[in-house]
Amino acid sequence: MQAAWKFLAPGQVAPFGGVRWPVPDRGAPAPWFRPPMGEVFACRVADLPWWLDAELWEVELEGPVSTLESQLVAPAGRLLRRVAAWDTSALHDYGAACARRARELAVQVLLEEGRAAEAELLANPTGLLEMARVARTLSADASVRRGANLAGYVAESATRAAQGAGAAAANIAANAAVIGRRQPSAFDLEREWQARWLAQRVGLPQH
Amino acid sequence: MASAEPSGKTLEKSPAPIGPAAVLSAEDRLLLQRITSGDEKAFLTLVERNQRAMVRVALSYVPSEAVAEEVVQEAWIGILQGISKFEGRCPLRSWMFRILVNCARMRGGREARSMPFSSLVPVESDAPPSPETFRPPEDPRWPGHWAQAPEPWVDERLSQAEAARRIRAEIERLPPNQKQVITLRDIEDWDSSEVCELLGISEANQRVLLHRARTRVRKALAGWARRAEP
Amino acid sequence: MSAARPTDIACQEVVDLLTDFLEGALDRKTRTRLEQHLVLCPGCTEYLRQLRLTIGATRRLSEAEIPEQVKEQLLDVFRHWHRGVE
Repeated sequence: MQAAWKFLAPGQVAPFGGVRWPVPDRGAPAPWFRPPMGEVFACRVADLPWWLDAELWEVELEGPVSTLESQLVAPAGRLLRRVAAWDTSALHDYGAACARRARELAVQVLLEEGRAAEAELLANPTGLLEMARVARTLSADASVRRGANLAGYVAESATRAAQGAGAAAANIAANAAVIGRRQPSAFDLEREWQARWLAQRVGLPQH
Repeated sequence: MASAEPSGKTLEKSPAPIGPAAVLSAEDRLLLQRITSGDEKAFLTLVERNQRAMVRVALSYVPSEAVAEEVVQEAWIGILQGISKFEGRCPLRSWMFRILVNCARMRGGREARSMPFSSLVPVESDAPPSPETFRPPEDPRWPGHWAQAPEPWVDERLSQAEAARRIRAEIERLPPNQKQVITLRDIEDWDSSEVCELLGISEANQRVLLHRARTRVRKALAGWARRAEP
Repeated sequence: MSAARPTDIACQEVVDLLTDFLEGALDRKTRTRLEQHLVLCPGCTEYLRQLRLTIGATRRLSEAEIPEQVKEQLLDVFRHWHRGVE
């Protein structure tokens, strides 16, 4: 049986449809949820970064289960258990980790460009807001210099992370990776790193 | 009518099959029976469900609210006189509004010369327009993304009378097609297929009009809704 | 040079698609892209929330009463018609 996960808005509410999923009662799985639209969606570990929301649940899907680009789809599903380790502090740490990775990449590129002083400035700050502030000052020539452009991404990612908008911070970092590593596949690789971070942080089996 | 092409990303809903939804409903049939036997409450029920929408639709043919109300009254007479002949092969509302539109067209031809009243209402100068903007196409990182994102709203503001007044005022300022669509869909809760049938437009065109109307109403509310103090 | 992936939608386009989204009229691929965008864009998430609040507030205008005078006039019409029918 395929392990599947689902992000829901607070109160077990489907993030876009707005319908409430039934919850498990005293350890028993919840009743099957068969929405009128005829489809429920869920994540494999690799899909998690795309669908972040307030609550993370382990779910079971009723077949046939189809695989789409970034989600699983099935006619019905039921909630098994809440992943308690996924909470606002995990979301915050996730955003921070993604922003820091973007910063590492920007530092590396600045060094490649021969801008050692700027690289050191950017490598220095530990706090997100300070990192954002410094990065912003280094981003002035973003339209002509790769290193400055990356500093711009770092500023944005760190700002979002500081606001608790982890998904936004992560997306910015994934976009930065394309510029930093100069290959389109860098985006997906960054997402894979993000998925592994999430799985490890909340204790999901990875495969 | 606005001629907007669907974006290629949308689906046209397949035409409704001929079936129970396309004819007089059992509930409406019962209502008509009661009306025919003189039941005033039944008649008032029909009035309460439709009067506002009828005035709104009539207004798109005639120049003033006073004339629109007269037209609607004529339409009610026509509806009552036609009940005994109505076979119920289409929904009640479709039939009623066809009668209304005929009355409105006939009257509208005669009154066409007078200026529509609403065009004389000056545009209110509102709170300073909210600075929501998008980044330009040349932006190095995020072309087309928010440069200045919408400021969050204070939800409680939406349930105050002033919000209703602002919505009403903005709807009055809309171009007639947008005004009709948003009134029938969002105030009167008509189905999109009913609106398309009445106005003779496609689902895609209807969505474009609805979108433009809602966008303007949202924007008109933004100045009010984002502040905590009156 | 745009850094965002070609398949990503930008906020300007998202805002244009929101009525189609609410009407269930987007094809699956576009709907998925739009939903993914909402996950990572606080600006568009707030915009959609505001659009929904607007629609809800507009709906409440239907609670406006029809003036008693109008109802009385129409009842007169009704009684007159019914007498003629009997």
